[in-house]
Amino acid sequence: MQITVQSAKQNLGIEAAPHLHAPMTTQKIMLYVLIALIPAYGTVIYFFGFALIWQFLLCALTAYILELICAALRSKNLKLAAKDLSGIVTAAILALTIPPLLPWHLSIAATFFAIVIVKQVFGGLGMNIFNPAMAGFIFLVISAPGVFYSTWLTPAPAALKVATIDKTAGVIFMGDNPKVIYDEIVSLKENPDVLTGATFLESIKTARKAGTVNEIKTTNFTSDDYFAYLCLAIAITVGGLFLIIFKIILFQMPLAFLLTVGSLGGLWHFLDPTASISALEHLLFGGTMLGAFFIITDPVTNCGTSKGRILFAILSGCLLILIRINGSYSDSVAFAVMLSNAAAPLIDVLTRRRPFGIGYRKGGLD
Amino acid sequence: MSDFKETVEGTLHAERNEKLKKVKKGPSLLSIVAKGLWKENPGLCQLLGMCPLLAVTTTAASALGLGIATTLVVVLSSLIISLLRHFILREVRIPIYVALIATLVTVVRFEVEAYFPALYDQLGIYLSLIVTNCIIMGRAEAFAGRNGPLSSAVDALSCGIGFSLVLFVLGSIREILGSGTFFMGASELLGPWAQALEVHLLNESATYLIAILPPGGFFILAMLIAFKNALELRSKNKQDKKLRIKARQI
Repeated sequence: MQITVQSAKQNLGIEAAPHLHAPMTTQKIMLYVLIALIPAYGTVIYFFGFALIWQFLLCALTAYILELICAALRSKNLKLAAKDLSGIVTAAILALTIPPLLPWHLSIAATFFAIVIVKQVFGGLGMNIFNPAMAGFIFLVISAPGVFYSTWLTPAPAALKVATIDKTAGVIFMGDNPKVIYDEIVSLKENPDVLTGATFLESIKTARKAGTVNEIKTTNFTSDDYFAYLCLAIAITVGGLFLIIFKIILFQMPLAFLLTVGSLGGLWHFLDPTASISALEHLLFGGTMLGAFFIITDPVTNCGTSKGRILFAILSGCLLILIRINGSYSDSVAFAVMLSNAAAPLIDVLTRRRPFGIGYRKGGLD
Repeated sequence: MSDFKETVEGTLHAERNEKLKKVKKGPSLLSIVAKGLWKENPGLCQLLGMCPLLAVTTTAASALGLGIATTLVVVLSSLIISLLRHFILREVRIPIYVALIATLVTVVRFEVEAYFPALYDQLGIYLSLIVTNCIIMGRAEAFAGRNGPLSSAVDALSCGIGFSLVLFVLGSIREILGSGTFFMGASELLGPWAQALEVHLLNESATYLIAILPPGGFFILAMLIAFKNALELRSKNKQDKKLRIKARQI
């Protein structure tokens, strides 16, 4: 094929030759991502209890079986599909984002939506337009808002002593009242700061709508109530650094994302404290940290060019703040990421690099 | 000998004439019905009338109500247009069609408002929006303007029923998944005997609200279309599978 400016334009986001061979395979990348999630998993289990393990097993098993069924339906090689870890990565991220005590059928439904409708219907691994884990999350938020916000837990140090394997299994599979575990965890804390909503961001929602965010007590991240969020952020950063060291993600992406969220959130807080929480709260609550290192860096649904990826991170950061402050749902990482995913092909076209050998200068030899 | 030849040629000629006549006659009524109901179903194949298809199918009853209203309008409009087709000038046919359809829709709207006020409230603006429904215009333009009144009426009826069936199936699935009930409000549409059809199927906690929101409508419609295509292409896919070279694909 003759290389012209036109043909380079038609390659949506795919870099022009020459290409280098990399020893990294997709399966290795997925394995490293799973390893990088271990610190975050450990922290969540320590502060929120064992329920996460059940959610992960549920989601991962469903995802794995569904991937195999889809591979069989499209008559793909089953051995290769069995080795594919991408479905489990999706399930692992989804399990981290959904409420720990969510009833089992909702977790399975969300995984089904993420794997079959968002991923396989578009063509499977590498073809999906939207991030499957975030789509599954949005599916839950929209379909079952009542259950979704009544099954959250509040973190407390050593909550795993209270939220044991048996008790959490009872809530998730047998439909026991999640309030029992919730109250037991709250009683672990010395002087609990009882939130009006399930999570911090949910509890400020009414204040946000009324424009009285500035009246909310400032959060102290070393207290029993919020120490968990600080630890979780550190654990996720450790996992993210692991991915950066192994060159799986660009370090510019989380950096640009966090800087955008921090500066924009801080600016908004400075200009209008009645509408926005402070920059640190924007960074540590909700899914901001997880989004920065594990969600916007999804190689399939973000841009193909490095410059584009940084722009993608900035765009999703801006959308995150905008939707979190004005939106009607409590957290907005999923919505911001999905909207940016939709914009990714356009960013690819806008940040295309000049192919080697053409277009040096006007009137030159090309 | 020559006599024999002549008779053979004569019969051949006659047969050809017969065939030509048949071609001129247009498609048979049965094939028109098959096309409208399944092969070229306006909801699943031509993807016409998407706006009401997605907007009013949150319950089976309102979907059926709109389906019946649309069928009524499309049959009447096709019949009238095909009767008048020799008097309609080609150059101004679209305005004439629109005027005719708008008249019919107005009549149907007042009728529904008078006799089924509950359904009228449920359908809202979509009832008067039947006038812009592409199915009616499409049938008028593609079929009724060129064919006789009988085949036009059959075509319109089968298209209308095909569209109503899609509306009804989509509405039922969305209602069951989204609110856990089936055919709620049927008694207002069909009369008090239909009270027995209203069933409560699922518990509130087992329903998915997304099904009655617009994205759910798109998802379920896409699933229905995929299901139809899979059914139609089943034999072809089987043959393709036999011929496929077994390669180690990635």
